[in-house]
Amino acid sequence: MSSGMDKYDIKVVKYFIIAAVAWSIAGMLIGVMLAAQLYWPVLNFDSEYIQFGRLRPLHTSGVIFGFVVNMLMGTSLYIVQRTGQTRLFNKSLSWMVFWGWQLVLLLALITLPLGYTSTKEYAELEWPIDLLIGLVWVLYAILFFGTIAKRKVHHIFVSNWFYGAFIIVVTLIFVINNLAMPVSLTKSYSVFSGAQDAIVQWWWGHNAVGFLLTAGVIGMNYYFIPKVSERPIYSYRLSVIHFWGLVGFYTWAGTHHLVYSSVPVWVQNIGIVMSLILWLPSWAGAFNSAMTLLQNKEKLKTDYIMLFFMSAILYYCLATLEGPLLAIRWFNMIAHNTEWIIGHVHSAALGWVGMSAIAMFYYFIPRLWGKEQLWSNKLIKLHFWLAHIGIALYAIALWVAGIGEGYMWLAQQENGSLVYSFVEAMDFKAPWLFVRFFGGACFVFGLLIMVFNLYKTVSMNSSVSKEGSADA
Amino acid sequence: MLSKDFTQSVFILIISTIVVASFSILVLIVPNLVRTDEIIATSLAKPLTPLELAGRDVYISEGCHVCHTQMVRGIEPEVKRNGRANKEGDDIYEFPNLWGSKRTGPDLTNIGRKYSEQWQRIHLMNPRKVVPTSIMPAYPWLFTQVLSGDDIESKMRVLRKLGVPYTENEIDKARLQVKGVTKGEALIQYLQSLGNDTASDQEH
Repeated sequence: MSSGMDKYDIKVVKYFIIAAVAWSIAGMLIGVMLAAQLYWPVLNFDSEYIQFGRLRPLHTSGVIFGFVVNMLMGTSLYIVQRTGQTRLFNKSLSWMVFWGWQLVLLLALITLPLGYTSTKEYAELEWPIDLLIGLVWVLYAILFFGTIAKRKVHHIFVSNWFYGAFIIVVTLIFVINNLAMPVSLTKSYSVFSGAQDAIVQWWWGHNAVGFLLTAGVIGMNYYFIPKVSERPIYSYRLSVIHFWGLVGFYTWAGTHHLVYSSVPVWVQNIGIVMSLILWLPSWAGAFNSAMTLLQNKEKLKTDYIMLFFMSAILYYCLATLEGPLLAIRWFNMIAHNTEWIIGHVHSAALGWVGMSAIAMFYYFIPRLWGKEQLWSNKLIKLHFWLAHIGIALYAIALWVAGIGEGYMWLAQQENGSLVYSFVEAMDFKAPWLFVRFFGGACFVFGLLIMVFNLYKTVSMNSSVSKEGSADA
Repeated sequence: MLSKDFTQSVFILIISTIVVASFSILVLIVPNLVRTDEIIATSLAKPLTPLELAGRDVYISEGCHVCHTQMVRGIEPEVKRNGRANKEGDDIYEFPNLWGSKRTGPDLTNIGRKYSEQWQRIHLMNPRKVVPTSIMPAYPWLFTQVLSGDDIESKMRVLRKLGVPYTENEIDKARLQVKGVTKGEALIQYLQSLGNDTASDQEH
């Protein structure tokens, strides 16, 4: 491909990627702060704005909507152009989507610390911001699908199916979950109550994971993994199975968050069964991506971008095995509401999403700015090990803390009385929460090294020719 | 072949994704949303008083639900620890549900039957005064910020539209009950109400 970047609309992609990097740092730094608060409560500083209850939604929103959505919007708008060999459907629309989304994030940054929240997990923002999100999302959908429609090749590339499903399903679940009746500009009540509201909420909550953090990132990887491996996707047929398996089964699995709760048992059981079924397409997809990387074994041995992608896939395998396991009643009884769930989310969010994003940043950012070589290979190697140590410490600490407290909450004497008080379980896990803080800090430190390395790479005096840059 | 079609037409890609993803709405979501009357029929729930409602909104605004659940699962040791297990009808007036997903602190479903108001006050001002190893933030500002009560009537009207049976008389009197009360006192009233409506139902 000797066609230059000037055939495509690249500037908006760069903006999205910069925003994604910035939010990844901000969102995860807040996460480290939260982890520290759980060990040193004095770090809440008796401040209503940064106490844990208000800061935590800012962490999740910052990471999901700041880091991941900016990343998915940016990469999708690039990939849909490259794989369709066409420019964006409408350039000004793309800037409306970019600035509209940054406005959403700015409003989140202001309103969440002020305590304006719907309480709904991963959908805390109040109704006026929800309306803005809806508007920007529709514009994004028009831009994305419009660009597919004007493609110059016959076939719609695999990545675009997954991005498409991400856009469509997030629309469905977002709208239904956020239906609310306003009291004022900053306050509303959900139109659903109690058990009904919980079903809707977890239908959203789990599909935000399924379609934002999973389908969207899979779409991204189906483009970048073949690029980095310099090999085609291992099996086209598997990617079709992967796609329909996810779209078909994921939307059913959310009620596994409500096992043993007061929602009807059949609703719980559907969530459990569908979660178990999901294991299959997940691993089929992981196998497909892993084999794509393994087809270039020589490069995999030495190239840390390849190794980051490989690690992401291994963490995807872990998380998609652990997920169905946690849905089973047996495990759920112990794990529900414990640190184990937080650990599970983070081995997926840091391991799968984080490592995929890191690999993509290292590959894509230099090429977007017309460079081919990273400034420092030593630093990417250091980052690789910091990321791995960070996630491993994080996951292990919360396995111990979560399984430990889950067991202690349930343990009974022979006469039926409880063995441990709640405080005893808290005291047990305290040191492990410190280990988790340390692991998270390692991971973020690695990210800062990445930013430094990429900054040096991009600002390096270019020794790379313009032709070279075209091969992104 | 299906695989031939959705990879060639953006229209078919969109429609087939919507159709496949929507099955769960039809089977899982809609049947539960039309059962409202059936759920209400089994319920012991009582609407919150205006002050308790104001306290609940303080609970929401401070993010208490981030670390505290309000869902006792029907498992023996859990009932022993947290009191009566939730039933489907318990939360019909909970717009939105506050079940939570993480028990960093204990479950609060039945907390109203456990502590005195004075204990709650000391605990909110500084949790470590009563639980030395607590990691809960202190909430001293709750006892200096005063509620105006200006929005309580519109809140109750919205909730009435959604199905909470507030009378016109209750709504008219609401503002005076809330006005001038600190956020902390309202929150304590809310906490002390938790679990009282179902207290008569003690099968466990």
